[in-house]
Amino acid sequence: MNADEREEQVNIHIRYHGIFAAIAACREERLALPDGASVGDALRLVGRRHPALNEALFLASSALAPYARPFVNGALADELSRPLRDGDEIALLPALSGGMG
Amino acid sequence: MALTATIDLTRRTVAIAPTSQAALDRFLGGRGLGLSLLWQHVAGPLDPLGPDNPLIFTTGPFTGTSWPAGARGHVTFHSPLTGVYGYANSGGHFWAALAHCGFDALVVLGQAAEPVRLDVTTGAVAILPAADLWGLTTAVTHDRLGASSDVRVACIGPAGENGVRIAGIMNDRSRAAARAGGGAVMGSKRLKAVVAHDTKPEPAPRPFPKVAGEMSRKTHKHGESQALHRWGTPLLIRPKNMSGDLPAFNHQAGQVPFYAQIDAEAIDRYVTRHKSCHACPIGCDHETRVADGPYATELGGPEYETVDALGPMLGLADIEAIIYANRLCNDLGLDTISTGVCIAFAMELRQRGLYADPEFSLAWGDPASILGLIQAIAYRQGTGDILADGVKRAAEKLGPQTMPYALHVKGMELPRQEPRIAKAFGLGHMTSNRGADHLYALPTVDIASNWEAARALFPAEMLPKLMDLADETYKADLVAYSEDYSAVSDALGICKFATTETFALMPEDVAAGLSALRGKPITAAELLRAGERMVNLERLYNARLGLTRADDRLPARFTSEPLPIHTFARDEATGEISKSESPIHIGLVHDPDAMLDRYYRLRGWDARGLPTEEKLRALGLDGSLPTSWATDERR
Repeated sequence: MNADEREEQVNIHIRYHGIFAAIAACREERLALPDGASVGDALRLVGRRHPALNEALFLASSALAPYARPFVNGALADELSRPLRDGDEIALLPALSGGMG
Repeated sequence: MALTATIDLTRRTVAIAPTSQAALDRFLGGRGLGLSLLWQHVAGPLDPLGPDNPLIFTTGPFTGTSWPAGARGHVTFHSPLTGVYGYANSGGHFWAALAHCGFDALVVLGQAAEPVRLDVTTGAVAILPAADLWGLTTAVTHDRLGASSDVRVACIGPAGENGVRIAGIMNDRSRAAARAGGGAVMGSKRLKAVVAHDTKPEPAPRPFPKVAGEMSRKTHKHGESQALHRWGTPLLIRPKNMSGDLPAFNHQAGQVPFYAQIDAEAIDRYVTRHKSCHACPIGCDHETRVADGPYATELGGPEYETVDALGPMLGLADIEAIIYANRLCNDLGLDTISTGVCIAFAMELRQRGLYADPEFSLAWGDPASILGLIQAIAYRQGTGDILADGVKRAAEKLGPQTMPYALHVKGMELPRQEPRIAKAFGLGHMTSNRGADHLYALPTVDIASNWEAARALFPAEMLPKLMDLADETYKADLVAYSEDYSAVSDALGICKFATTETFALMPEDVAAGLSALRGKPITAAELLRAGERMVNLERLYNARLGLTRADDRLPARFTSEPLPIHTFARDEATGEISKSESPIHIGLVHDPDAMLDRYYRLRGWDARGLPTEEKLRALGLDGSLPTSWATDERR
């Protein structure tokens, strides 16, 4: 059973910034996740909804790309295992940076 | 001890004197000190490869100290590539050794009759013969000079010796003061190398190590520092490809389908170790090794800019060939950015039926053409001889029909951002006083979604537009601020990865460090004022040579050819990557004149992009005005 199919108990809001908004073709979405779902679960769910976003968010090793910065209620989520609570807002920001060297 | 050595290679004399305190007060050191010395020595047009062009090596007050990333040094000269103000900057350990020897500046004048090298020890500089080194690659030169943790080397390769105008100066084997042709200036002086014998530095004043330690921890903990340490600058490849900011095929595209073959994860398979420049808490540098096959080699790098310049820009998808090409450029002493753009220019001319080479196919992605042309550029052979002078001169030689494909600003090849997507970088390429340059401004706040820095630096009402990559309204504000802070970084001898790239350290942090080091207070506003002073004097240097608004111009491709941006998705079963049929975005620079107008207004310059007398007076530069300024017909 995956996160989509389980009982939906946590409702959160995800906002896409910069290139992530362009790739997802929307600026925000509401997500319903099972109780105990984490930031990683939310990102994997939006990755399944938007395959191109999945390619942008996750490395081949399935780790979150280092330039993808998820903020939960304004604070950077250092760990994808961070649990979500009902009403949380994730802001997904790309840190593309400039290039050097 | 703060010394300036003036070395006349024609007369074979060395004069050592205390560095001008007035120059340090006004221009801090590093880039600012190099600029003020160049201004003193050059009064107008000159032959950049003649004896009158000074080659000025400078360190900043933080270089060689425990300040985080205090590893950088600067080389300033009249550029043989652009014919105007030129400089190059690099990290590594050479500059720290030069600073530990007590030198703020080495001013190299004249031309030696035979090849020479400079040997720098504590408070002394000797001119030594180097005929036995002439013709050697930079790697072999390092070997012959006994490069080690005690013996630090900066040198040129065959490209610099042969007057190649896109030749750089290599230090610590793999660090490059690459841009604007400083290697050719060094070659024209028959100066093969500068050797700095590292020594124990004088202890810093008591409060400084504590402040530097705090700032080092702050820099280390910054999120982007952690990512840079793990992946290095190649971490940019994948997101840039997603956003259309990975220039490819001479900027005919902003994305490549083969990004996963050349991105940070692909390169990671070749990484043998991570390493750091002097006192750096980030440690973004890494070494790679291709163990076998036709491209077997070892390399310090590759960095993002080089991967794009020698990869997507040339349609080359083989990361091993890219690493090999990078090493070849380093050995020959070539700027990888300009080299890639020059070869891309030739390949697009071949694509359009405008040029053919008898030896190389010039087909996109052909490693034989790419590797062969790198050699041919360094030794000025065939097509390589044409490209060795940069794309601007090459197009002038090949005819007006080729000029639209020569991508440069003020004669310097574009670095590896896509101006139609990264609008602030595009404007920064236009306004940079050394020609197209990503590091002159390094305006990252919008593209890095750095809201924390944005809120600290700009009024709240600006932010929605300023942070929108596609919105051109306030890009000038971002560029002007970033130029000043980047100039401060270059002047102090620190890496921009701690400042304008990440804002791990704000100007207030840097001011606290400099106050502790100098024992007299300086504010963040005064520091940024010094940065502004540098940008204005650099502009004045070029204005004196006749440059004006018309030279702050992007190639027409970026304002007239819309760039479609697609998404990529991976088939979970097959792993194949497919591109979306419809674009999600169309990139284009819509109104460069409006961006320039706002930038000039913010700078206090007139509509022609020239500093006003009022602005120069405010910066204490009115004494720098040419007497003919007010009536000069160029204005």
